[in-house]
Parts: sequence; structure tokens; C-alpha cells
Amino acid sequence: MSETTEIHSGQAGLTAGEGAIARNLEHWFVDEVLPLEASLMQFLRRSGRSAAEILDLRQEIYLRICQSARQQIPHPVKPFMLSIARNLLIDQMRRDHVILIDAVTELDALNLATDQPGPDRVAIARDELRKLRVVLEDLPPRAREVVMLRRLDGLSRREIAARMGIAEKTVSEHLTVGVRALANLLYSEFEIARGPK
Amino acid sequence: MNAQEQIGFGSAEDIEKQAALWIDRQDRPDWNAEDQSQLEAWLSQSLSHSIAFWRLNAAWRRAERLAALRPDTNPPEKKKFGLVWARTAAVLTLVVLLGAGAFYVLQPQQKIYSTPLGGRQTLTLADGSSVDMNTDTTLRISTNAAERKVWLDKGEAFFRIKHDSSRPFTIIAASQRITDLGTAFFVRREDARIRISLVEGSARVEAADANTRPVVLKPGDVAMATPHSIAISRASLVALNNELGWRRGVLVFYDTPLAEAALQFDRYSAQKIVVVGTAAAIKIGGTFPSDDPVAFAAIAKRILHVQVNALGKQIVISR
Repeated sequence: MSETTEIHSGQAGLTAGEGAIARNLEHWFVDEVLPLEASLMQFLRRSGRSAAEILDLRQEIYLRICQSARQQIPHPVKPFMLSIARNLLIDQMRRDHVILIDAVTELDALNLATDQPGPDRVAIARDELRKLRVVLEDLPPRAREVVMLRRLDGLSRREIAARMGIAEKTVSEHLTVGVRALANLLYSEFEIARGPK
Repeated sequence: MNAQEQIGFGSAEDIEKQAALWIDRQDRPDWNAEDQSQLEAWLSQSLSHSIAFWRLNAAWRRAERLAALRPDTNPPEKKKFGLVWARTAAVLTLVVLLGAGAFYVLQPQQKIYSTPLGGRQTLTLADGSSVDMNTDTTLRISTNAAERKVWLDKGEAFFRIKHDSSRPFTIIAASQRITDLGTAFFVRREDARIRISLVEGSARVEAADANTRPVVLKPGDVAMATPHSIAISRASLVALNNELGWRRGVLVFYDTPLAEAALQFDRYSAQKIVVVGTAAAIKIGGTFPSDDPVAFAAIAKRILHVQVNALGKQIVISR
């Protein structure tokens, strides 16, 4: 294999074979795990944790899923992910010495509730464009303008800066805000925040 | 691994912010190999970095599809450009109609075009872009309001593309992609390997492997792209124009070894030239009809004093 295939995204010092695994891991994560993010977030929000704690929990859950997927791809993903989430929440409660009977019961109830088939990626893929359009409306205005000029109109940064009358550096700032908001709207919020339109 | 260990690199929010900075950096036109290796280093610090990056990158890629939402009308400042192209397209069309080529107004569905061994065909697309297909070539074209796509299944073609940033023109050959940035270039496919020679404008080449950095070609650049690598060399524009001789039905050689010239003729005719022994290295120059290997052999015999013998369907050249 060529050198380029080995310089790869995941970890330093990977062999070509491990590089291939890490690449597959990315595809698997994007195709199979990310579409479940809305369900996961729904689950985590109901645990009563703060927004920052929820993000940390989500990161930890994704990390654990990807670590175990390196050994063996879990299938189906959703119950596996929710059991990781549930165990993680219980672990944290233990560590915090705050074992709330109610919280654990609540988790069990949630586990059942969220195990039902949610709005799935088949349906999501069907109206990708409608979804993108709706999501776009929810971006912060300047970020939305930058994302639209870049992605919809295909303008360069320089052109965007000129048109909006801002510095290229500011274009970058709006773009980073836009990318994060896009990911949140596409993966975390959509199904909860919006009904069919 | 336990929870503390992961979070040691910063809160999830911090990591996401850093990942967003990388997405932004990667989107800039001056992204280079050094940036790429810095990104690799950051990703390799923690699997959580990779995951955060994958997530944002997936969202950013999805937003590419927004181009499909674009209304068909061009913004006013692009009108002038469009007009110039309309005129060029009209000229091209005229040339094509006068010549022996075919004129196609392409429908939005995928269409398949093929040329036989020794054949040649010019396609003119509805947007004014043109595609000259060389011998033994198959391609599929699909156009709609959002994008224009060509799959080069085999052979070689010369593309002169009417650039439209709202409707990218992408050529997919093997698993490599070439995206036009306003351009004339030709592509030859040899199984999984493709060779792209850029004559005018610029074009972006991407290997299938997302970790191979895309390359933007300038005139005179010749790119060899495999699914895993892209190598660039330079050719003079004269040499590139000579290579494009096939569009006029000729092969142009300049100090070309006979063995290589023979391979070139093989692409155009069932009648094969075989060069044996030390004759293979003898060099020849000149312009020859691509569909007439017999004439080529006869000229080689006269100017290079080589032996030429017919052996069934083969033409054997030896010292």
C-alpha cells in the first residue's frame, strides 16, 4: 500500500491494516452511530444533567462504542449504545455516592421507552434536503449566511468576506460556529425540535 | 480505559471547538501537507479527537448537498461569463455539426456512450461543455440541476468544461474524482490508474482514499492517480497538444521509442504492431494517422531502415 494510506486519521504509528480498520471505524460511526444521536441525546437530557455534562457523557459513550467496535462491531447498535449510556450514568451516580433509587428506576423506564424504533435513518435520508433546509433556518444568522455562501453558492472565502463586508478571519469564525450548529441540528436536535413541516 | 483518562484532553465542548477549527482550516484554499500532518497529529492524540472530527466533518459534507437547493438563475455578476460561454457553445456546436461528430442534447438521466476500437466521437452537452471521446472508450453522463457527473469506465477523453460553481462537473474514473474548476483537460484510464493532463484552467483530483490529500492541477500538470495516491509530473504544453493529436485522428511522436509508439497504435486498431529485439529502443518522430499502423510501419521502414514483416494480423518490426 502506498504511503498516503498509512498516514491516516486515527492513531500515530498505525500499520496499514490498522489504518483500514480506523477508516472503517469512521464510516461505521458516521453511518450507524451518528443517526442515533437524537435518541441518545433524548435519553441523556432526561438524566437531569447539565448541558456540559451531557456533552462529556456523549463523548465518553462514543469513545466506548468506538473502542469496542474496534474489537467487534456491535449489532444492533442502538440497544448496545443505550446500555453503555445507562451503565455510564449508573457508574457516575455510584462514584458521586448519590445513588438515587428514583434515578435508576427512571433509567430503566427510559431504556424501554427509547428502545422502540425511533424515526430512523431511512426516513431521514428520504428527505435529506428538506431537513437541510429546515436546519439551515435554525443556524445563527451570520453563520447561516456563511454556510450558505460557501456550500450553496460555492463562493470562496475571499468572495464571502467581500460580499458580507467582513474579514476572512471573521468568515472562519462564523464557519466554525456554523459547522458545530449544523452537526447539532442534524444529529442531536432535529427529531425533537421539529415536527414534520 | 476509565472515564477520567479520556476527558484528560479537555471537555467535550473544548474538543468539539478544536475539531471545528480543523474543519475550517481544511476548507481553506491554502491547506497544505504540513497542515495535514498537524491534523493527523491532533487526531492521533485521542480517539475522542477523531470522533469529534468525524462527526463535524460528516455534517459539513452533508451540507454539500445544499447546492441542490440553489435556484437555477445565476447571480447577476455571473451573467457576463455565461454569455461568453453561450457563444463558445454555439461555435462548438457549429463545428461539431459541420464535422463528422455527433451532437447531443443530454437528458437528465444517465446515458452511456461508447466508441469502438479506432473510433472517435464528440459530445456536446446542453451547458456548452464538450467531451471528445477517443478510441475504445466508454463513459456515462448524468446531469441535473445540482451537478454534472461523468463516469469514465474505460479509455480516454478530452473535456472542455463550462465552469459553473453551482453545478460542479465531476469526472469519476476508477474511484478517483476530478472536479473541474474551469478547465480543459484529458483523462486516460488504465484499469484502476488514471492519468489526467491539464491543458487549461484548473481541476481538482481526489483519490478514493479520503486520506490522500486532493491536488489542484495547473496547466501542464500531469497527474497519475491510483485509489491511494496521486503523483504529479510536468509536461510542456506542446507535448500535451501533441498527445491530443488523437482529436485530429493522428498520433504525434517526438523521440518516441518504437516499442512505445507500437503500444499507442494498439489502442486504435486490431492490427497490432510488434517490435522485437533492439528495434524496440529506436526512436521515431512525426505525425501519423492513428488508424493506419501499416502506413506507420512503412514510414519506419523507409526512414529507420528496420525490417517490416506481416505475420497474420500482426506487423512485426525488427532490425
